[in-house]
Amino acid sequence: MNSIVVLILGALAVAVGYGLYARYINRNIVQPDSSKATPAKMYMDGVDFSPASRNVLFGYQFKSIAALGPITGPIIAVQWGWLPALIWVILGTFFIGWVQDYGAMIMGVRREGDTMGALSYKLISPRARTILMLFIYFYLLLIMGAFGNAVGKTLMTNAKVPFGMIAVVLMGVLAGQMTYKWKADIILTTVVTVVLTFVGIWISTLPFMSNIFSGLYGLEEVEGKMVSPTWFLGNTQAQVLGTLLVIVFCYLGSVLPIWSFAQPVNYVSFWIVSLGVLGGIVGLVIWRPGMGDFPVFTQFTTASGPLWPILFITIACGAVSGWHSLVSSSGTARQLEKETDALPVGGGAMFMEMVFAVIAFLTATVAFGGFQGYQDAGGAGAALGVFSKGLANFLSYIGVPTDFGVAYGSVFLTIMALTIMQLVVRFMRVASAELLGNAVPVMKNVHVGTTVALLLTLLFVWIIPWLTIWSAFGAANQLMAGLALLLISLWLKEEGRKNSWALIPAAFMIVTTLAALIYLAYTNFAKLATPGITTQAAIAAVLIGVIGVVLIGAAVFLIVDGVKALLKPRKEAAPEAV
Amino acid sequence: MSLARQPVLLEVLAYIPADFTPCSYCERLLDVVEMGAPVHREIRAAYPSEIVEQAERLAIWLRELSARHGDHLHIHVVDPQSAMGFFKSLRYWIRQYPAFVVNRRRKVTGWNPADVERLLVDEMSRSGGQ
Repeated sequence: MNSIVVLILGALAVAVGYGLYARYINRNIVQPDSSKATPAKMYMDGVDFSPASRNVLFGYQFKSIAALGPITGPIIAVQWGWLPALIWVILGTFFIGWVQDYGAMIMGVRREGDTMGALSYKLISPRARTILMLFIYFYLLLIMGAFGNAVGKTLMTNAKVPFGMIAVVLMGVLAGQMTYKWKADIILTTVVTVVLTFVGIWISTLPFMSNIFSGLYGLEEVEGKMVSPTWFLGNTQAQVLGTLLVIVFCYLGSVLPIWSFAQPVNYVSFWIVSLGVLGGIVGLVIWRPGMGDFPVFTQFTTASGPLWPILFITIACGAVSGWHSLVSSSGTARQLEKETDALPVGGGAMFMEMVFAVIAFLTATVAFGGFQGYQDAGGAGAALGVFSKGLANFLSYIGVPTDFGVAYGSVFLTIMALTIMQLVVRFMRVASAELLGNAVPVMKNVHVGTTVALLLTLLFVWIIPWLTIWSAFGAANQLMAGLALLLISLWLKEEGRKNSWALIPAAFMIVTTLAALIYLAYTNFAKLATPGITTQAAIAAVLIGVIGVVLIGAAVFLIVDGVKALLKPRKEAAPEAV
Repeated sequence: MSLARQPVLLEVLAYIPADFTPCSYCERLLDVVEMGAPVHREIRAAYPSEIVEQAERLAIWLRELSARHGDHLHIHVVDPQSAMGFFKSLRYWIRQYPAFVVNRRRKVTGWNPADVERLLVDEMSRSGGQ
C-alpha cells in the first residue's frame, strides 16, 4: 500500500469518525448547551478555572496528549505486521479514543471541574481514589524507565548523536542567559541559538567528533557493525555512558532554576522539532513511498507477546490512552468557555493525534523499503531509533544528508523525552521531601532527593528490557482508560442518558488490560524458573511481575466497585469527598 | 453613540515568570496528588527578582487599565519566549521588553506606561470613544 493511501485512510477516518459519529453522539445523546455556565465561568480564579477560546484550548489539549507515545507505540506495534497496527490506530480512535477524551471533558464540565480522583471517589467508591494514587506512583517510575531506556540505551549510543544533544543544551542555557540576564531581544536570541544548534548537530556528525565518542564508548567495527563492549548488567559501555549523559541532563533540569535551563532548552527545542516535522512531511509528500515487502501480518505471537491483548496496550496514545482523561477532566474541562466546545477540543485533538500516530506508523513501514529495513533500523526493540532513521530518510528527499538527519531526529526525540523526564524528577524530588522530609530530613536536600529519584530510574533503565517496560507502561495507561470510560458510563447513567457508546469500550479496555496484565505477570514470574537465569533478568522479572500483580489487584477492585455502582438505582446519593 | 465602536487592542510583549509546564501529564499528576503548589512555588521563586518585579508591576497596571476601560480595551499578553512572541517581535520589530503595540500600528518599547496610556486615549478618541 502506498503511503499516500494510508494518509487518505486517516483523513477518511477523521471525516467519518468526527464528522458523523462523534457529532451524532454529541448532538443526540450528550446534548451540550452553549448557554449553560461552565466551571471556567462559575469558579473563575485565573489559575485553574479560566475560560479560554476553543482555538487556544485545542492547542493546549493536543500538546498535552501528544508526546512520545503516539510515535513509539505504532513503531513497536508493526512487529505484528502493518495491518493490525493501522486498524487499531484508526478504529481505536474511532470507537474508543475520542469517546474517552470527549466524555471525560464533558463529564468534568458537568461535574463542576472535579478531578479524576474526586470523580472516582464520588461515582465509584472511596478506595477507587486510593487505587488511582497507587497507579500514579507506578506510572511515574515507568515513564522514567521507558523514556530513559529509549533515549539513553538507543539514541545516545550512536557516536554521531551525543554532541548534538550537548549543543542543544548549551544553546538552551545561552538562550536563558541572553533572555533573562543580558536582556537581548528574542529575534537575535532565537537566530543565534537555533543556528548554532544546527551547527552543533552538524559537528556531531563529523568524523573528528564522532571518533571522540566512539573512543569513549569503546566502539569497534565487527562484521560491518559498531559494537561496544559489555560493562555490567548486560549493558554495553555505550549504553551505560549514554544513560549517564541523560541522567546528568535530568539532574541539571531538576536542580537548576527553570528559567536558566529547562525552559530555554525547551524553547530552542521547539524550533528544532517543528522544523524537523515540517521537513519530514514535505520529504514524505515528495517521495510518496510504498510499503515494499512489509508484511500485512507477521505472526500472532511476537517478542512482545500475543497480538491480543498486547497490541492494545502497546499502542496507547494514537488510539486510546488513559492519560488523556486526566488532561481532559481536571485540566481542559476547567477552561472550556462553552459546553459545545468539548467536542472540537476533546474529540478534535484526539483525531489529530491519530493523524500524528499514522505519520509515525509510516516512518516505520515505508521509510526503509520493507520489513528487513525496519528490522535493520532497530525494529520494535529500538522504536525511537527507527523513527529518527525514518525521519532522516524523509529529510533526504529535501536534500538533508542522512547522517545529519539521523543525528537531528535523535536529538529532537531526546529533547522531547528529556523535557518530560526533568519535570518528573523535579516532582519526585519535591514529593519525597514532602512525604519523607520529617522522618528522614536529608530527603529535603535538593541534591539528595534528585539523586534518589535518578537512582530508581537507573534501576529500571539498566535492568528491565525496553519492550517489557513499554508493555508495563502501556498496561498502566490502559487501565486508566478503562477506569475513565467506566466513570463516563456511570455519569451518563446518573444523568439518565444512553451509555452503551462508552460502556462497551470500557468493558473492552478493562478485559483487554486485565488479560495483558495477567500475561505480563505470568510470563515474568515464569522466567524465574528458567535454568541459569541471570541475577539481572531475575530482578527485572520480579519487578515487572510485582507491578503486574499490583495493577491486576487495582483493576479487580475497580471492576467490582464499578459494577456495584452500575447496578445501583439511579440518583442514589453518592458519598461526599473528604 | 459608541455602540458600533471597535475596542482598542493592546498587545503586550513581556517576559512572564510563568510556571513552566512542558508536560501536562505531569501537571495533572501534580494536581491529583496535590503536589502542584510546592513545585510551582519553587519554580516561580527561582526567577531573577528583576523579572518578577517587572511582571508584578505590569500585572497591577494592566488590571487597572482593564478596570478603567472595560470592554473598550482588549489586552493580549504574549511571552516573547514563545512562537507567537517570536513572530510578533519580528512583525513589529521589537528589540526591547516590555513592549506595547496599540491597534497593531503604534508601539512603545520599554516600561513607559504614561506613553502607552496617551496612545490608548488617542486611539479611543479616534474610534469615537471616551
